[in-house]
Amino acid sequence: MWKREEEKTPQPTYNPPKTPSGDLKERATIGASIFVKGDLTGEEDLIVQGRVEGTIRLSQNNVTVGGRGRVKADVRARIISVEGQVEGNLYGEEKIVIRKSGRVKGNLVAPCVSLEEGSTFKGSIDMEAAKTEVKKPEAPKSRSVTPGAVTADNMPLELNTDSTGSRGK
Amino acid sequence: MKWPLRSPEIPPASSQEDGGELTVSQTSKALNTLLYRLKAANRDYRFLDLGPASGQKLEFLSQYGTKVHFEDLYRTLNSFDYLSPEDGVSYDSIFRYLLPYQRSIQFDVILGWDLLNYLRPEEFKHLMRHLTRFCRPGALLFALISTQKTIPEQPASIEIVGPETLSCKTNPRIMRKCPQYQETDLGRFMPNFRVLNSFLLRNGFKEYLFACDRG
Repeated sequence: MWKREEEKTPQPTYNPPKTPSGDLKERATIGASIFVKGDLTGEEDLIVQGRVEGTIRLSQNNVTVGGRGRVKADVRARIISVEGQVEGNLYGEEKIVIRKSGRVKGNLVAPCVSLEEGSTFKGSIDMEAAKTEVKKPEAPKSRSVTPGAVTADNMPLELNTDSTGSRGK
Repeated sequence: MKWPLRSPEIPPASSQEDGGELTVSQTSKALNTLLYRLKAANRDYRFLDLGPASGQKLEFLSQYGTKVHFEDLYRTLNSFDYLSPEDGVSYDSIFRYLLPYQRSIQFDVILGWDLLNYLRPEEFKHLMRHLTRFCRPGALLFALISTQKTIPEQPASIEIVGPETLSCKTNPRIMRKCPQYQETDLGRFMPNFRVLNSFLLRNGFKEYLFACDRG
C-alpha cells in the first residue's frame, strides 16, 4: 500500500589509509583485549594495541606498537614506531621511532633511530646501515696495509699523552 | 647545575622549572678534549652511555659512531633489589648480569657522567673491573666527580648541547651525602685507567677524562 520511504541516516564509512602513490594500504590491528603468542608474518601494516609474545616479521610493512600495546618479541619491519612497551630486539629496514610514551628494552638496528623526549630506552643502538649508505671517497687502490701498522681502524684514541697525564691515584 | 652549598647567586644560563628542577648550561673542556681525540682518529666509534637514553645525545654521538649503548645504570641498580651482595651474590655476577656484553664488544668511549658519585666503593670498583674487559686499548672514559660534601639525591640528567657544552638538569631540593672520591680512590678503583685530563669546575665538580691502559 502506502510505502513510506524510510529516512536514510548517513552510515559511517571506512576510509583505509592511502600510500603516497594513492593506493589503498591494508592495515591490521591487534585490539587491546587480544593476546597473541607465536610468530606474526604478513603483507600489511600492523598496529598492536594488545599483547604479543613471539616474533613479528613484516619486513616490507610498518609496525606500530600503540599506547596500550605490550610486545615481548623481536620485531622486523620497514618502519617501527613504539608508543607502548616493547621488550625485544627491533630491526627497522628504514627507521625506528620511540615516541614520548614509548618504553623499549632491547637492541635497535636501523639506519635511522629517533628517541623522542620522554621516551625510555635501555639497550644498544646500531645505525651502521645508515653510514654504509653514505658514499665515501674511494681509497687509492694501491693502498696496502702492513700487518701491525697503525690505521684509522686500529689507531688508539690516545694519540699524544698530555704532559699533565698523571695517574689517577 | 646549581649546587646549594655554593653561593646563592643563580649561575648564568640556568632556568628553574616546576618541581624544583634546575637546568644549567655547563662548559665542558673534558668533553671537548674527548671529541677532539675522536676526530683525530676519524673512525666509527662504539659508545657506552651509563646514563639514561635521550634523542639529543643519540643525535650528537651518531656524528662520531653508529653504535651507542644506553644503560641508565643508576635506575637499573635501584630497581635491581632481588639479588644483592647481602644475599651472597658477588658484585662481579651482578654486573655480568646487568651489563651482559659479548666478548667481541669493545667500547671506544664510556660516558659515566656523574654516576660514579652515586656508587658505593665496592660497586664502583667492580663496575670498573667489569667494564675494563670491554674497553678497547686506549678507550676514553668521561666522568664528573664531586668534591662537595653533598650531591643531589639523584644523578643529573645530562645532555650534550654542543662540542663543549653540556646541559645539566638536576633537583637540588633533596640532597644526599657525597663520597667525595679522591684521586687515590680513583687509582684504587680504576687501576687500568689513567687520568688524561682533569678540570675543576666552579660548581665543585671535577671533570675527568681517563684512558684505559688495558692491552
